[in-house]
Amino acid sequence: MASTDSKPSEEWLASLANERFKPVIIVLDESGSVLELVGDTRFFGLPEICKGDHIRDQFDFLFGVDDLDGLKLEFIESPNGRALHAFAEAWGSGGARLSLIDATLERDQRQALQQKSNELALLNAEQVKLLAALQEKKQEAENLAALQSRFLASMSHDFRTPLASILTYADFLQTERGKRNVSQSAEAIKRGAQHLLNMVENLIGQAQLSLEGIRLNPQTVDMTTFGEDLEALFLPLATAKGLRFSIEHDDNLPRHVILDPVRFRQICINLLGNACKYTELGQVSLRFSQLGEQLCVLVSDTGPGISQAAQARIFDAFERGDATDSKGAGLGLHIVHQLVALMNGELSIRSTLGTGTNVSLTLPLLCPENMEGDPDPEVIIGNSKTVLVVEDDSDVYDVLAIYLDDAGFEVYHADSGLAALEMVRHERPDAVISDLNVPDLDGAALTQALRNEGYDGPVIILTASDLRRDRERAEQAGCSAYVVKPIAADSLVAMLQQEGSGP
Amino acid sequence: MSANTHDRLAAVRQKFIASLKERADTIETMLDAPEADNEHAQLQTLVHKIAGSAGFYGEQQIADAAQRIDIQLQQSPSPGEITALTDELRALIAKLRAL
Repeated sequence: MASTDSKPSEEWLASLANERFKPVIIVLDESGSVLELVGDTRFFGLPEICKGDHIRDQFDFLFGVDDLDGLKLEFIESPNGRALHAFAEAWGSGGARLSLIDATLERDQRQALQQKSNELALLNAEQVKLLAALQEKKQEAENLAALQSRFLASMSHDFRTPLASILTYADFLQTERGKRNVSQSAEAIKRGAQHLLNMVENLIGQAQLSLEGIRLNPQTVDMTTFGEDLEALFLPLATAKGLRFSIEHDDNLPRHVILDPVRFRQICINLLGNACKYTELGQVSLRFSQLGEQLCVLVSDTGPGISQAAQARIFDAFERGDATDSKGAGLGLHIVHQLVALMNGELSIRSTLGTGTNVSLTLPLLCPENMEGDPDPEVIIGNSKTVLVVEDDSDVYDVLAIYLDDAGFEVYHADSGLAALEMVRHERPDAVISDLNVPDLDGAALTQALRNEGYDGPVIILTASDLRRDRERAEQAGCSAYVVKPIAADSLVAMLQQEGSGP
Repeated sequence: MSANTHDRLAAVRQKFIASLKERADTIETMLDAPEADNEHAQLQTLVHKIAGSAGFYGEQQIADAAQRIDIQLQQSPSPGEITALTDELRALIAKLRAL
């Protein structure tokens, strides 16, 4: 191919190389004076040099080295920011030839490549992190799904017992004998339904608090009534299977204890439900007793028993005594175990195959008298002598005033929140009982105002509506107790009065 | 409980029951001749008060029944549902009159 350029090829090549590399070639004699020079040192921001100049000082980077011959320095940064390669070789007798060529383009390309590679490494690390996060989310979703199915299974398990009791009593009502004992059956049906309602309410509460776990709600529990409720639930089931059934209380056990009644009932129902389910012959019994500072519950049955190996796994979810058993999801004891742990109790199981099973449960025993700092009205108003009743319904005030008066309290009355605030400023009553729904300031707002003014006596809110947001509002305002009506006046006063320390 | 307290309780209870019977009449009038626009609110207030007070006089059944109706009225039922509530209200009236 004919070149259109007039230059001969060698000259053309030299001009290309010159354009691309801007070479500078300097030949020095042994003293460091320039003998020959090609190119322009100013391109690299170096001082201009001419033949005969002494340049040791300007090119000191080349002269600190013992043996200049064969020296190769790459990517040196020049004074004006360019990159250059510098080569040196021996020349003549004791002289040297220095060559500098421009490497700025090469350096920039290398840097760009390095940058790309850094970015890729970064992206890669990011990707690894995202994958790990994805894996974690996947695990969470799987855990939630497992939890959901366990939860559904446990719910159906827990709903079955009260439903069975309701159905049994409803059947009984249709018989001739049942028609003569309507109120007893209606009572049992009501209790079963009440338990279902409690569970549903708990579910709602739990759904709201699912991430924080279960919140216990300790209250004063009447153990006699509690036992009667259990008996009404299970007696029909046990009798239908031909089993003897009993609920017993030790004489030394206090009648009133402080427990979360819904959770405690759930525990007892699960234990009794299992005992009744597996026992085909003989008896099932539950005994409440006190051992030191512990409340003990012993559930005994004469069922098939549980093998040692099965006992070791029995508190795990989905475990059942026997793999062929199809009676439940195997969740009851798992839930019981968790609830007992939550209530700071202990659960143990003793069983002999072919003889029966004893499940024993101990919980810290708290009685209303020794609950310190608990918002239980029996304790908080114990030393009060004067009470302000804030109530705009005179029917309610009349009867409360009589009961409180009879119990020895001096009673003040206000029929609105503002009137109550005035009354507290002047009379400083020891305690305040207020309806939630009173004019001006409602019970919660009144509580807030009283607390803001430094009133530190007990404030008890009475209400007909057990709405969560009302309760929360009143509790946040600083009420000492929140009591839901309908309630009988004498039981309210009994609640207000601590035995022996009232007025 | 002293004899004096007993007498005072009997007296306020009598007054309360008399007022319940009056309220039974008022509710019945509202059911028989519904007219006023704010009748729903009036009815709810009446029933709410019964729900809040009857328990204090030991009338737990009446308190429970009134509370059930109160809750439904508070949820602002449609006219159709109010009609369904009528039966419950009439049952409540009967309970009040039987006191």
